[in-house]
Amino acid sequence: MIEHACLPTATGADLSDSADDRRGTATSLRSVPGDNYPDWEAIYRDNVDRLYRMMFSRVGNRPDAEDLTAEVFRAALGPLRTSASVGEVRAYLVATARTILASHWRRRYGMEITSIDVNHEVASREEEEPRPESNPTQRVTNILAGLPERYERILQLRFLESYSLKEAARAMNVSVGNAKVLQLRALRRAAQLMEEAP
Amino acid sequence: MKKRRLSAFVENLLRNRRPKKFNADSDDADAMRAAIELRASQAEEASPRPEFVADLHRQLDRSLSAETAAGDQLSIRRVSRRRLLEGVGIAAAATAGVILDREVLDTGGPSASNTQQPLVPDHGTWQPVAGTSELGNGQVAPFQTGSTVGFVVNNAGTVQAVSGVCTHQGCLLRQNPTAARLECPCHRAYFSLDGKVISHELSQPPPPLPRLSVRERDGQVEVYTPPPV
Repeated sequence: MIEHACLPTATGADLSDSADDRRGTATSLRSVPGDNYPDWEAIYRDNVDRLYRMMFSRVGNRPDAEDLTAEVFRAALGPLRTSASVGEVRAYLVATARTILASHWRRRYGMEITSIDVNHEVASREEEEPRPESNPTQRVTNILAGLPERYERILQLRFLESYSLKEAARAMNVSVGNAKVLQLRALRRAAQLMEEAP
Repeated sequence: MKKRRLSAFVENLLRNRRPKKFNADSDDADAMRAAIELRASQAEEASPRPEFVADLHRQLDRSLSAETAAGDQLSIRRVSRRRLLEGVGIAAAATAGVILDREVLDTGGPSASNTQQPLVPDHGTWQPVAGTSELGNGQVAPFQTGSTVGFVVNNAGTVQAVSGVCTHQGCLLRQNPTAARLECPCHRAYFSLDGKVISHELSQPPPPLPRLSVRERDGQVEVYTPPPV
């Protein structure tokens, strides 16, 4: 077993910022798909952020995203050996994440609510390291703009401006019950638009 | 559609709590999917908490150490493989198969492969081989640890270590500082400082040089090598 006191890197230690980086943050890690990981820690550090984000975008809340991310690593790290290439390890982790997410949904709601497209995830990771951050937000802005005005307003208040149901009802001059119904209808309409604009 | 449960689902998402279990229908699923996308696009929780990353690291470290300490690698592998095939399902099994077959079939024999392999000993320790300050950008330092010989290279701030033994017949390579390459004294084989074959005059190209794990710690460059022989 390799010592864990410090961060071993996939292709080498980054000397340029070593003075600030002794505690082993993952910022200096850069792995390319053809390389190998030296050990499980390198696999972990290179993938934990990405997998958490992937899970969070599929479940929308932190407790579930954390549990599912942990489950992926517990299931995957035992069988993984570092003889596999970086690209293979990443693909395997995403495939494991897909299965774990699917069984989470079936367990909790009896059906799959969201899913992970393995090929898409792996391809997008190899294409670009710095991801365009504005994309999901832009998509959401477009979706909201395509809704009838009151649907747009309730979702804007609730999801973008963190209004409580009561506050949103007051702002829109309707009862709390009405705001609740409005919110659910707006969500279903938004789901249709999301499906049309993948 | 279950309005009350769906409203509770939305409320939990917005408060960053774990939504409760219920039996959803497809109308529910649509609304839930939309709520998740709206929520995820805005939330600052899109990045993992540092505490979570550190805690999970500790847990995995403990459980992997326990597995290794259990010793019987073969039984661990069998269990892992079964768990893995159950857990991942058919679509992923193809990917998993690539990794497992390579792992299970890898008997440690000489590989005819021309891909660069990492040299990761089963029982190694980190050995200091050079001072960080001695290894400026673009510089190369030979090292010898009692069990391995090699070169560490500072390539634009990233340090790499490669084996210093020619993969053809085992002669010790020497550095050619003017040509920035490693040369075999026995036959004409030349390797780049990151271990790739530049040119050779052998009937078969030799494999690239294995890479060693390397890290920087307390002003020292360290490589992960087996104990001295």
